[in-house]
Amino acid sequence: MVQEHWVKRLKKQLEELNSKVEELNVKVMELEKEKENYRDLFLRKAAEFENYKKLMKDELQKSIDFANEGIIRNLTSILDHFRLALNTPSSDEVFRKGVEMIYNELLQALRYEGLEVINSLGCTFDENFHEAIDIVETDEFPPGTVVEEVQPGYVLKGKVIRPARVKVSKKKVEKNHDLRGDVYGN
Amino acid sequence: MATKEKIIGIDLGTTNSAVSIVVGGEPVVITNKEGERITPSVVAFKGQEVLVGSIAKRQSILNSENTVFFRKEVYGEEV
Repeated sequence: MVQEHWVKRLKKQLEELNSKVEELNVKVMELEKEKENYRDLFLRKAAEFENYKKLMKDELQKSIDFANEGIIRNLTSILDHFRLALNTPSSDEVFRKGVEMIYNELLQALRYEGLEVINSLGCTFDENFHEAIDIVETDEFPPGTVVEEVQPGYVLKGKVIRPARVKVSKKKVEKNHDLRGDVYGN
Repeated sequence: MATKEKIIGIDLGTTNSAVSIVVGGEPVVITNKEGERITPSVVAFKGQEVLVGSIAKRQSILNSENTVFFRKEVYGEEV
Protein backbone atom coordinates (compact mmCIF):
# COMPACT_ATOMS: atom_id res chain seq x y z
CA MET A 1 0.00 0.00 0.00
CA VAL A 2 2.81 2.34 1.00
CA GLN A 3 4.77 1.27 -2.05
CA GLU A 4 1.84 2.09 -4.35
CA HIS A 5 1.54 5.47 -2.77
CA TRP A 6 5.22 6.16 -3.47
CA VAL A 7 4.96 4.92 -7.03
CA LYS A 8 1.99 7.26 -7.63
CA ARG A 9 3.83 10.12 -6.05
CA LEU A 10 6.96 9.48 -8.11
CA LYS A 11 4.90 9.16 -11.28
CA LYS A 12 3.25 12.47 -10.54
CA GLN A 13 6.64 14.03 -9.87
CA LEU A 14 7.97 12.53 -13.09
CA GLU A 15 5.01 13.95 -15.06
CA GLU A 16 5.59 17.32 -13.48
CA LEU A 17 9.28 17.13 -14.34
CA ASN A 18 8.50 16.05 -17.93
CA SER A 19 6.11 18.96 -18.24
CA LYS A 20 8.77 21.25 -16.83
CA VAL A 21 11.32 19.85 -19.32
CA GLU A 22 8.81 20.43 -22.12
CA GLU A 23 8.29 24.00 -20.96
CA LEU A 24 12.03 24.54 -20.75
CA ASN A 25 12.54 23.07 -24.22
CA VAL A 26 9.98 25.53 -25.60
CA LYS A 27 11.72 28.31 -23.71
CA VAL A 28 15.11 27.20 -25.09
CA MET A 29 13.68 27.22 -28.62
CA GLU A 30 12.23 30.68 -28.08
CA LEU A 31 15.54 31.93 -26.72
CA GLU A 32 17.42 30.29 -29.61
CA LYS A 33 15.14 32.11 -32.03
CA GLU A 34 15.55 35.35 -30.13
CA LYS A 35 19.32 34.87 -30.11
CA GLU A 36 19.29 34.30 -33.89
CA ASN A 37 17.25 37.48 -34.34
CA TYR A 38 19.70 39.46 -32.20
CA ARG A 39 22.66 37.93 -34.02
CA ASP A 40 21.08 38.83 -37.35
CA LEU A 41 20.33 42.34 -36.12
CA PHE A 42 23.87 42.69 -34.77
CA LEU A 43 25.41 41.57 -38.08
CA ARG A 44 23.20 43.92 -40.03
CA LYS A 45 23.96 46.84 -37.72
CA ALA A 46 27.68 46.00 -37.82
CA ALA A 47 27.61 45.94 -41.64
CA GLU A 48 25.59 49.16 -41.66
CA PHE A 49 28.08 50.77 -39.29
CA GLU A 50 31.02 49.69 -41.48
CA ASN A 51 29.27 51.21 -44.52
CA TYR A 52 28.52 54.34 -42.53
CA LYS A 53 32.16 54.60 -41.45
CA LYS A 54 33.29 54.23 -45.07
CA LEU A 55 30.73 56.78 -46.25
CA MET A 56 31.74 59.25 -43.55
CA LYS A 57 35.45 58.72 -44.34
CA ASP A 58 34.77 59.42 -48.04
CA GLU A 59 32.63 62.43 -47.16
CA LEU A 60 35.33 63.77 -44.85
CA GLN A 61 37.99 63.31 -47.53
CA LYS A 62 35.77 65.08 -50.06
CA SER A 63 35.12 67.89 -47.59
CA ILE A 64 38.89 68.30 -47.09
CA ASP A 65 39.66 68.08 -50.83
CA PHE A 66 36.93 70.49 -51.84
CA ALA A 67 36.79 72.76 -48.80
CA ASN A 68 37.94 75.68 -50.94
CA GLU A 69 35.84 74.79 -54.00
CA GLY A 70 33.38 77.64 -53.42
CA ILE A 71 36.03 80.33 -53.24
CA ILE A 72 37.99 78.87 -56.18
CA ARG A 73 34.78 78.69 -58.21
CA ASN A 74 34.22 82.40 -57.48
CA LEU A 75 37.81 83.23 -58.40
CA THR A 76 37.44 81.53 -61.79
CA SER A 77 35.08 84.30 -62.88
CA ILE A 78 37.88 86.78 -62.09
CA LEU A 79 40.20 84.67 -64.27
CA ASP A 80 37.59 84.92 -67.04
CA HIS A 81 37.51 88.68 -66.75
CA PHE A 82 41.31 88.83 -66.90
CA ARG A 83 41.24 86.73 -70.05
CA LEU A 84 38.61 88.99 -71.60
CA ALA A 85 40.69 92.04 -70.72
CA LEU A 86 43.80 90.45 -72.23
CA ASN A 87 41.93 89.57 -75.43
CA THR A 88 40.76 93.15 -75.84
CA PRO A 89 43.12 95.25 -77.99
CA SER A 90 44.96 97.84 -75.95
CA SER A 91 47.27 100.66 -76.99
CA ASP A 92 49.00 100.67 -73.60
CA GLU A 93 51.33 97.68 -73.88
CA VAL A 94 52.94 98.26 -70.46
CA PHE A 95 49.55 98.24 -68.72
CA ARG A 96 48.54 95.13 -70.69
CA LYS A 97 51.75 93.37 -69.64
CA GLY A 98 51.01 94.22 -65.99
CA VAL A 99 47.49 92.79 -66.25
CA GLU A 100 48.93 89.65 -67.85
CA MET A 101 51.42 89.23 -65.02
CA ILE A 102 48.66 89.55 -62.38
CA TYR A 103 46.56 87.04 -64.34
CA ASN A 104 49.44 84.56 -64.49
CA GLU A 105 50.16 84.99 -60.80
CA LEU A 106 46.51 84.37 -59.87
CA LEU A 107 46.38 81.37 -62.19
CA GLN A 108 49.57 79.99 -60.68
CA ALA A 109 48.18 80.38 -57.15
CA LEU A 110 45.00 78.56 -58.15
CA ARG A 111 46.99 75.83 -59.90
CA TYR A 112 48.84 75.31 -56.64
CA GLU A 113 45.40 74.64 -55.06
CA GLY A 114 44.69 71.96 -57.69
CA LEU A 115 42.94 73.99 -60.39
CA GLU A 116 43.52 73.11 -64.04
CA VAL A 117 42.27 74.92 -67.12
CA ILE A 118 40.52 72.66 -69.62
CA ASN A 119 42.14 72.57 -73.05
CA SER A 120 39.45 73.02 -75.63
CA LEU A 121 40.43 74.75 -78.83
CA GLY A 122 41.15 72.26 -81.61
CA CYS A 123 40.33 69.29 -79.40
CA THR A 124 37.63 66.77 -80.15
CA PHE A 125 34.45 67.65 -78.27
CA ASP A 126 34.26 65.70 -75.01
CA GLU A 127 31.07 66.07 -72.98
CA ASN A 128 33.02 65.20 -69.84
CA PHE A 129 34.81 68.55 -70.09
CA HIS A 130 32.94 70.63 -72.67
CA GLU A 131 29.45 72.02 -73.00
CA ALA A 132 28.33 72.58 -76.57
CA ILE A 133 26.49 75.86 -76.98
CA ASP A 134 26.58 76.19 -80.75
CA ILE A 135 27.35 74.36 -83.96
CA VAL A 136 29.56 75.87 -86.65
CA GLU A 137 29.39 74.54 -90.16
CA THR A 138 32.90 74.31 -91.55
CA ASP A 139 35.13 72.14 -93.66
CA GLU A 140 38.29 73.47 -92.00
CA PHE A 141 38.05 71.03 -89.08
CA PRO A 142 36.84 67.46 -88.78
CA PRO A 143 33.25 67.22 -87.45
CA GLY A 144 33.05 67.29 -83.66
CA THR A 145 36.06 69.60 -83.19
CA VAL A 146 35.98 72.54 -80.79
CA VAL A 147 36.38 75.58 -83.05
CA GLU A 148 35.73 78.30 -80.47
CA GLU A 149 35.89 78.53 -76.71
CA VAL A 150 33.28 80.97 -75.45
CA GLN A 151 34.00 80.44 -71.75
CA PRO A 152 36.93 78.44 -70.37
CA GLY A 153 36.31 75.43 -68.17
CA TYR A 154 38.10 74.33 -65.01
CA VAL A 155 38.92 71.09 -63.24
CA LEU A 156 39.65 71.06 -59.51
CA LYS A 157 41.49 67.97 -58.25
CA GLY A 158 39.98 65.85 -61.02
CA LYS A 159 36.45 67.23 -60.64
CA VAL A 160 34.99 69.42 -63.37
CA ILE A 161 33.81 72.48 -61.50
CA ARG A 162 32.77 74.17 -64.72
CA PRO A 163 32.81 72.71 -68.23
CA ALA A 164 34.23 74.82 -71.03
CA ARG A 165 31.42 76.36 -73.10
CA VAL A 166 32.33 75.77 -76.71
CA LYS A 167 31.24 75.89 -80.32
CA VAL A 168 31.65 72.65 -82.23
CA SER A 169 32.26 72.01 -85.91
CA LYS A 170 29.91 70.21 -88.19
CA LYS A 171 30.36 69.26 -91.83
CA LYS A 172 29.10 72.02 -94.10
CA VAL A 173 25.73 71.26 -95.60
CA GLU A 174 23.63 73.04 -98.15
CA LYS A 175 21.42 75.90 -97.02
CA ASN A 176 17.95 75.24 -95.55
CA HIS A 177 19.23 72.07 -93.94
CA ASP A 178 18.47 71.59 -90.26
CA LEU A 179 21.54 72.74 -88.34
CA ARG A 180 20.67 70.76 -85.24
CA GLY A 181 22.15 67.55 -86.45
CA ASP A 182 24.13 64.83 -84.89
CA VAL A 183 27.87 65.38 -85.03
CA TYR A 184 28.49 61.81 -83.86
CA GLY A 185 27.14 60.30 -87.06
CA ASN A 186 24.10 58.71 -85.34
CA MET B 1 23.49 35.52 -41.70
CA ALA B 2 22.74 39.17 -42.24
CA THR B 3 20.70 39.95 -45.32
CA LYS B 4 22.12 42.35 -47.88
CA GLU B 5 18.93 44.34 -48.29
CA LYS B 6 19.38 48.02 -49.06
CA ILE B 7 16.68 50.60 -49.05
CA ILE B 8 17.04 53.33 -51.64
CA GLY B 9 14.75 56.19 -52.47
CA ILE B 10 14.72 57.73 -55.93
CA ASP B 11 13.30 61.16 -56.63
CA LEU B 12 12.72 61.13 -60.37
CA GLY B 13 12.19 64.80 -61.03
CA THR B 14 11.22 66.45 -64.28
CA THR B 15 14.40 68.52 -64.32
CA ASN B 16 16.67 66.79 -61.79
CA SER B 17 16.76 63.47 -59.98
CA ALA B 18 18.29 62.35 -56.68
CA VAL B 19 18.94 59.03 -54.97
CA SER B 20 19.15 58.42 -51.24
CA ILE B 21 19.94 55.42 -49.08
CA VAL B 22 19.08 54.74 -45.46
CA VAL B 23 22.12 54.81 -43.20
CA GLY B 24 21.63 54.34 -39.47
CA GLY B 25 17.92 54.83 -39.93
CA GLU B 26 18.39 58.20 -41.62
CA PRO B 27 18.10 58.93 -45.33
CA VAL B 28 21.35 60.18 -46.91
CA VAL B 29 21.43 61.59 -50.45
CA ILE B 30 24.27 59.95 -52.36
CA THR B 31 26.42 61.74 -54.91
CA ASN B 32 26.79 60.82 -58.56
CA LYS B 33 30.04 60.19 -60.46
CA GLU B 34 30.61 63.92 -60.77
CA GLY B 35 30.23 64.39 -57.02
CA GLU B 36 26.88 66.17 -57.33
CA ARG B 37 23.90 65.36 -55.14
CA ILE B 38 21.41 66.00 -57.92
CA THR B 39 21.60 64.72 -61.49
CA PRO B 40 19.87 66.35 -64.46
CA SER B 41 17.06 64.06 -65.70
CA VAL B 42 18.60 63.71 -69.14
CA VAL B 43 19.64 60.59 -71.03
CA ALA B 44 21.45 60.48 -74.37
CA PHE B 45 22.45 57.69 -76.72
CA LYS B 46 25.78 58.24 -78.43
CA GLY B 47 26.53 55.26 -80.64
CA GLN B 48 26.59 52.30 -78.24
CA GLU B 49 27.19 54.55 -75.25
CA VAL B 50 24.47 55.75 -72.88
CA LEU B 51 25.10 59.13 -71.26
CA VAL B 52 23.24 60.21 -68.15
CA GLY B 53 22.91 63.53 -66.34
CA SER B 54 25.19 66.54 -66.85
CA ILE B 55 27.28 64.94 -69.58
CA ALA B 56 24.13 64.06 -71.54
CA LYS B 57 22.89 67.63 -71.14
CA ARG B 58 26.20 69.17 -72.28
CA GLN B 59 26.13 67.41 -75.63
CA SER B 60 22.39 67.80 -76.23
CA ILE B 61 22.56 70.34 -79.07
CA LEU B 62 25.03 68.13 -80.96
CA ASN B 63 22.89 65.06 -80.61
CA SER B 64 19.38 66.39 -80.19
CA GLU B 65 17.67 63.47 -81.91
CA ASN B 66 19.10 61.01 -79.41
CA THR B 67 18.86 63.07 -76.22
CA VAL B 68 15.82 62.78 -73.99
CA PHE B 69 14.63 65.53 -71.62
CA PHE B 70 11.48 65.82 -69.51
CA ARG B 71 10.78 62.11 -69.91
CA LYS B 72 8.74 62.12 -66.70
CA GLU B 73 5.88 63.77 -68.54
CA VAL B 74 5.37 60.66 -70.64
CA TYR B 75 6.09 57.85 -68.17
CA GLY B 76 3.91 54.86 -68.78
CA GLU B 77 3.45 55.62 -72.44
CA GLU B 78 4.77 53.35 -75.13
CA VAL B 79 7.68 54.64 -77.17
